[in-house]
Amino acid sequence: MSNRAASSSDLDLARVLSQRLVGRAAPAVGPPTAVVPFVSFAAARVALEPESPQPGAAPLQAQRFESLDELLQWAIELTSSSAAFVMDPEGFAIATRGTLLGEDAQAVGAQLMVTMAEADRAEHPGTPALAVAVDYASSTLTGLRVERDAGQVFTIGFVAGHTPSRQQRAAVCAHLAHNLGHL
Amino acid sequence: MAVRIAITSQKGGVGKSTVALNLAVAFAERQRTTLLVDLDPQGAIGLSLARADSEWPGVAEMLVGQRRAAEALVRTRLDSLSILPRGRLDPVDVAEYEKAIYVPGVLDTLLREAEEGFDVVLLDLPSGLGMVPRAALAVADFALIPFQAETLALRSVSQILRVLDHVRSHENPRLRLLGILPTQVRLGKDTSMEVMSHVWGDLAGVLETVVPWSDAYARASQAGLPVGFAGGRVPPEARRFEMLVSELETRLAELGCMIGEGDEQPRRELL
Repeated sequence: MSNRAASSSDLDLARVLSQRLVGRAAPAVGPPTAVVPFVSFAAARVALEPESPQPGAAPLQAQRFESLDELLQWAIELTSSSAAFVMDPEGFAIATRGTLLGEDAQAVGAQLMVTMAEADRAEHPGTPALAVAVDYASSTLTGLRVERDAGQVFTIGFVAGHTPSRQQRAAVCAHLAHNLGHL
Repeated sequence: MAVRIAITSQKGGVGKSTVALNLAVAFAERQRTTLLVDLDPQGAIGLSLARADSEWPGVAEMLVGQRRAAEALVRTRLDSLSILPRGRLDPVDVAEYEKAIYVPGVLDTLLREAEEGFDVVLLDLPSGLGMVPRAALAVADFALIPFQAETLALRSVSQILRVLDHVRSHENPRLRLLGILPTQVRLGKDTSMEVMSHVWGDLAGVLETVVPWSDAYARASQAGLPVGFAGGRVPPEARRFEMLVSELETRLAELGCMIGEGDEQPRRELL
């Protein structure tokens, strides 16, 4: 819904939206009846997003997945991504879901790991980069690192139209870390 | 797999919790295993059933890891109906409760744990377009909008439709409008009928079942009961919800969603 200039009391708009939402073909949205645009909080959300979890926010209860594929499917839905994959510490794609398959995921994943290794140099010495986001075709490729045991670092990558939010990234990392032990 | 139906409205006082409670009863009496989840920070379902604010643990305790779903579900005397109450939420902590529910993945995880074995999950939401309704719509399959037949509701109905459209486009492509349910309809009152003529004429998805204005709901709420549980003859208000369930199941089937095992039954012999 990109039209922010519509009045909330616009019955014409309600008619169009109700038709679209029940699955019927919707006519084109007509000119809004009011010319005062809404303020776009969505656009400002990135700037408002806190750097650390809100005090009092409930701890995320990680759910158990039976396979990496299942976990990736959940992560794709959570982050509205078109593809996701997991790279093991040796640089092999061990699971992939969505539009990047097989060798494509392997190639993109390997380059993502190299990119993250480069990003390590920009961090404080000895502090690995936990996440990077780079332009990828017309999308964004986001990489997250999750450590299992000492030195066993797995990388999860997403291809989406946007970078997953901080909360989404935290949720994905928590679930991957929680499940790596039995997958 | 359970079908999640969020009962939502931008406007308060339209009868969301009354609809949620009586619809849950009607589904259950049709032998659909039904879970009614009270996500309203006010705990409107518990209040409708005349329960004290701190009587039942529920969603709030699950959010902070103090209870598992199995410990929080309230079994009712209707075999097919269970309730997941709001929990013992201090009114002072409502803002924290809302923020906790809004964290991506949290509500979905909570519901997955609670809804195992249920056919239908009804989510009773607070009025408005804030964090709890947004979080619920992001994980629901369908939205049901109780629509109070009065002018202010008509003027603001595009707000909730706009939010549904946004959530469906950006967060949850599964989300569909199950229907707009006219409530508190006064057929003998000009303004109510004028609003309804607009609704019926202009909006898609308006259900044929309407819930007329009736004192019976207030009396039932006072007694802490669903509207059909007061004894005596089944009141027409309870029949309304039986009709509503029939219409919703037909609508769900049209959308490719069968609840439970449908209406199939084994061959029988009469003689």
